[in-house]
Amino acid sequence: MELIYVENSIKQHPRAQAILKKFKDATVIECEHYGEIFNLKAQNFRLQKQKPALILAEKKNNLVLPTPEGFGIGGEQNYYFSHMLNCVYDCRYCFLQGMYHSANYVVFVNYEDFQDAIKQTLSMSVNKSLLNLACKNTLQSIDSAYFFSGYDCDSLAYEPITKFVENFLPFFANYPQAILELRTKSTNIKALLKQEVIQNCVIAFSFTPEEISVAVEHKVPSVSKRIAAMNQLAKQGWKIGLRFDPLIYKENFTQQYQQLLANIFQELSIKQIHSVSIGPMRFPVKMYQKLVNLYPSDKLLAQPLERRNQNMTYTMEKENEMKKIVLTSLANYLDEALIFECYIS
Amino acid sequence: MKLNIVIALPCEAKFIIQTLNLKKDVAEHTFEIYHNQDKTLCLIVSGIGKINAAIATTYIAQYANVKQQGFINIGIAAGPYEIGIMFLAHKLYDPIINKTFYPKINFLKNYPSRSLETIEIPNSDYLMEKMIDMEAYGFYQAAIKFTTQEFIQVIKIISDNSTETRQKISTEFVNQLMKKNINDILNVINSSHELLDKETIRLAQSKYFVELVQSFHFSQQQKLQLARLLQRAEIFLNETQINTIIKNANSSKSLLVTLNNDLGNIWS
Repeated sequence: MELIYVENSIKQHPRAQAILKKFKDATVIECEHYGEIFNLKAQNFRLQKQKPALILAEKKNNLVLPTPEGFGIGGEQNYYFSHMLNCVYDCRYCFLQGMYHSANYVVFVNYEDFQDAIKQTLSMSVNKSLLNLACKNTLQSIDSAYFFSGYDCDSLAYEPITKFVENFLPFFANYPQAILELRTKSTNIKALLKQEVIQNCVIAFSFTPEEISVAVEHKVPSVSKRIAAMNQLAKQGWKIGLRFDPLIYKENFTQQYQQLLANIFQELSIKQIHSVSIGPMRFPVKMYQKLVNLYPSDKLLAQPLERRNQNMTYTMEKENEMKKIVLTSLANYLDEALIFECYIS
Repeated sequence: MKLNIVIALPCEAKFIIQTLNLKKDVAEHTFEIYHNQDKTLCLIVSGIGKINAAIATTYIAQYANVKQQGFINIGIAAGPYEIGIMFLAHKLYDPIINKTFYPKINFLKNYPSRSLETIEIPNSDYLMEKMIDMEAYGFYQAAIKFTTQEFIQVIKIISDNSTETRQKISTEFVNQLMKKNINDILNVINSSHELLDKETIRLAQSKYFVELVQSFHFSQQQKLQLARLLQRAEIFLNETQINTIIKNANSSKSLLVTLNNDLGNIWS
């Protein structure tokens, strides 16, 4: 990291200091608010992605937000929180490419404020759940609330720098009714292996078949390395999520996905699987146009997609064909109750 | 593609113009403008102050106007540093409006960089850890209307500090400062040119596009469709296939339909 921006208000924060110590040769520039750098329109995302800077900041508002419709793994109450904006990987289908003007990494160092906001959200969620039960006059248990940490970033990829897992797992250990999903393509699992397993944490690995991954998931560890990391965690007792979202079409789609599933389920114990989710590749229309402008010669973006509602995606026929193939293959390995479909809203 | 250099004073520009062998555009009277043969490198002498810098930057952007442009402001600055040392600016502050820009310096070789404050009236405040000039913020504010931050740089050479104050600055002294730093200045110019060049090539319109819009009538919306279909065609089809489609087309509509159909079932 050659260039680091740090907000004046947190430059003395111990977490900011610890991160700065890791990059002793970097040019450090003070700023008032990360938005001065991050939000400016006149930035070239593609070039920045090749040489991102790091921005250390404080998240002041909207620390925990409800997830968009269609995003979830079976829970009624779904929230996300982002200690980091942007990802160290460069997946051509990722919505983060069209989400922000900047490819720089923002790390919000005020983890304790996130934890306070999670506590508040959880308390509201419990009240909501109790109210529902009272209305229904049942004796069912209170619904869990799901907290997704890998919405605006990869949950584990920057762990050596952010120590996110190291800080948040002990916190979630105290709130068993809160389910934490760490979504990742990383093999940075040291921090997890060091911690005692907690039952309310799901480590969700995203996969596409190796050939697709090599073509479109730049800088991501190989599928085999990710499977190995996932198996290591499962053996230690961690609950595992499998994410086939997005499903990406190729000529030999069936064979590609069947091989991927065979490799995944070769060693993975089914009892460790918390959930499996699938969803077609889709881009909000404006975002898609932005991506095409960024990468006009990219093969994935040049595929024949069509507009459905506010999204660019596969034809309904193609989507159904892909889903059917993957769902049929998954049925060979696990109960369909574990499978959730992410849909286009 | 065009790289624009904005310099406040003739004495700051003189040695750069000579070294780059730029020719004066004698037809231009609003500002002094110099350029290379194909006008891919243009230099404008703005005059002192951020308003002049902003006007000149806008003027040079419109001069020999092309889509992909880069901008470099070169000049002298005050600061608590050694006289003659060159810095890139990594933070530009305008105290009048209390606004800041953060130029992206990490796309260039690792040159030392400092903060820079653009003021309206020269002063002798050399104590703060920053450079002081009279143009950079105005230059940047204008340049950013025409390109992205990666293609805008500010180079400053320290001309005065608390021991050698601005009263000592002369035309010849400024010329010497530029001479001393000419290699690094040229390196920044060349690197910026290279980055701009790569981006221009990457975003170039399909070679078939110009020919086709001359052959058939396309509405604006159809031109956009055509441009994207040709980009996709160049990814998935070979030259013979594309030429056959073009040869068989008898109208803009039939061309778009054929391209759309032929690309409709190709998967990477």
